[in-house]
Amino acid sequence: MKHFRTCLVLCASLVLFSGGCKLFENSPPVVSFRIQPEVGDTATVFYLDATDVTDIRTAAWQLQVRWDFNSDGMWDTEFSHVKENAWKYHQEGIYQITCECTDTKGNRSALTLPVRVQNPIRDSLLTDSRDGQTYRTVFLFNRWWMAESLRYGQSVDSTAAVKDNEIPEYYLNPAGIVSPFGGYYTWPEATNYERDTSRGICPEGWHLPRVEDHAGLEDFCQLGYFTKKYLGIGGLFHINLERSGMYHVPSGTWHRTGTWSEYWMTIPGRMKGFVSWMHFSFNDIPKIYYDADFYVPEWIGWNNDWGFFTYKKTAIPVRCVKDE
Amino acid sequence: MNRAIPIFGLLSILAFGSCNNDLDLVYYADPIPVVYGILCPQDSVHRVMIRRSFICGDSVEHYAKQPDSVLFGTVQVNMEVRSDEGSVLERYNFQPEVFALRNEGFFASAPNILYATRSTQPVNPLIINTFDKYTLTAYFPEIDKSIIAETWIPPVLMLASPARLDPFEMDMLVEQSIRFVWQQSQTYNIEMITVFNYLEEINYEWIPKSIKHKRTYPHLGKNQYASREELSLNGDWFYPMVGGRIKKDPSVSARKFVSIDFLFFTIPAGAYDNYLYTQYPTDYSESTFSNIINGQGLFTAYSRRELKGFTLGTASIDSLVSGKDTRDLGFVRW
Repeated sequence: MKHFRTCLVLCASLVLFSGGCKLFENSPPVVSFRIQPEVGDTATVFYLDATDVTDIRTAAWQLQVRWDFNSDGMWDTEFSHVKENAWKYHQEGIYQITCECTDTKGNRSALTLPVRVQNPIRDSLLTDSRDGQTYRTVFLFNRWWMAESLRYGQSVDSTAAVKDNEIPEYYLNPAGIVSPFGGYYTWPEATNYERDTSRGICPEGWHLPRVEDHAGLEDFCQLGYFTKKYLGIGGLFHINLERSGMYHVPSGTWHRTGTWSEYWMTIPGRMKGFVSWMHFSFNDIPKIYYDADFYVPEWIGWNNDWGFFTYKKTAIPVRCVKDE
Repeated sequence: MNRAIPIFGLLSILAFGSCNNDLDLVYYADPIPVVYGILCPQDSVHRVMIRRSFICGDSVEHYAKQPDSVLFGTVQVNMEVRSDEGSVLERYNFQPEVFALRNEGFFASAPNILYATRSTQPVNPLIINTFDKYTLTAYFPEIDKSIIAETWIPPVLMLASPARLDPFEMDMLVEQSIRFVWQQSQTYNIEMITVFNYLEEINYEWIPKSIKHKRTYPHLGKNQYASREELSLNGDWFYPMVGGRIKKDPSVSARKFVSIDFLFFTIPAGAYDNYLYTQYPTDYSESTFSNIINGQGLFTAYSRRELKGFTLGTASIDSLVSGKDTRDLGFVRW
């Protein structure tokens, strides 16, 4: 009986011991890596840093990594103790980068992260044949955008009411200057009193931004990048969205100036709309709001007491997109 | 005995057979980009040198003299200013240019190709902050490889003293002719170079000359807090320095003082440590320092602050002419 007990304890210890060892031996490394920058163009060399990979039983310097720069299943590098790499893409697109790590026991694990590659930004100039004014333009996500806000027509005093008189009228920005904010137009003025809600008062061959014009920008937003450095004045996308805010005509007050970029847009089936880019805020994460119903403007701070005819009483800038 | 014969035969076959398999010591591998770039944000044009490793079976000297062995055909070189998060804030394109001839040496001396920014492209100071970095990138189509290297952009040294940074007439006979005060950090080494400019008259011709004196202030250790560094200069240091550095020369009939310049260099700690390593290698250091990812070499930057054109007052020049440390050097008043 005594021997039986001893054998039982020994067996239990062996099972526990061997089981415990297997648990450790089978633990694969924990892969983490970063890509800098997360968005680039076809001239960008991306920096890939997997120096933070870890493993329970293997020292960090003994871990090896290999890379698949487009996740096509073909490894682009051999396993190496060097955990940093650099790669350049020759075509635009969203690529998935896979990093696989192995420890000294051959346990492996992998992580895949996306990277966005776009074509280098092209800039040009647009001359409005109606008044000879010149605007900078930029080719962004397969669209030509005006990189400055429209300033077509004539400015009116901030206390004056605009009229349907065939001459587009706009308000000046809080500092009383036109450039670089352009004019602040009410919805009726921006659409020539809804005679043309597609082109609005844009130059010939250009139109008010539509939902589909924002597709690339929306994808960009979902990646959660810092807006200021991309979309703001002097930003990398060259679109120069100024922090325009909006002007409420009856009360003569400015709202969100210095924090929000806004411009009119058209929404199929609903006609009216505007785009608000929330940026330069605390966390600087971009958001795009299409004002398509009553609640959205209320939610983003459009005062309730402005009433139902808000579009007639609110002035914001106009940006135009080139017809395809 | 009978067994020994077949064993001996087998061993002989193995031994001679293995001799037939020549070990190929030269195996093809992609060339390794070798990059050297030491930049200064205050420069209007930046230059980097890019070479390649090569493999050859024999006659290494012959191959080293061939430009094709040490140069890549086409290289796309950019330098970017990237934020700490990795956003690209600015990009500068580098183009190949044939620079002045190199001295003859082991490697091909011509063409001496460097990659340079095309024109004056000063870094926009408005977008630079403490954590921004210079990022050098290069793509090599021949091998479909890219390299990348980063370095902090060193700030220009801020001086708490002197209050006036424009040059003035110094009096070397007072206790503090000039006093420099700055903040020393863990991140950067400070190098201060005092340049003493003068003219030498040789055969009735005045020739510009200068002597330099360097002081180094190493970066602080990890457990040290930022500290105030202070340096006061006066005649007790100045005249012996001039007297000790300028040699008496019978061919020089006279010397004239021109000006004193103070140059401050801010050098990243890592780069400076690497420089020291190259100067004083140890047995423990076996590998070469490199911060080029996918390549070899060094990419770093330093900042420069120049305070130029300081002059000496009449009494200070009198001491230079007839003082005990410098009277034999032939300085004259003018």
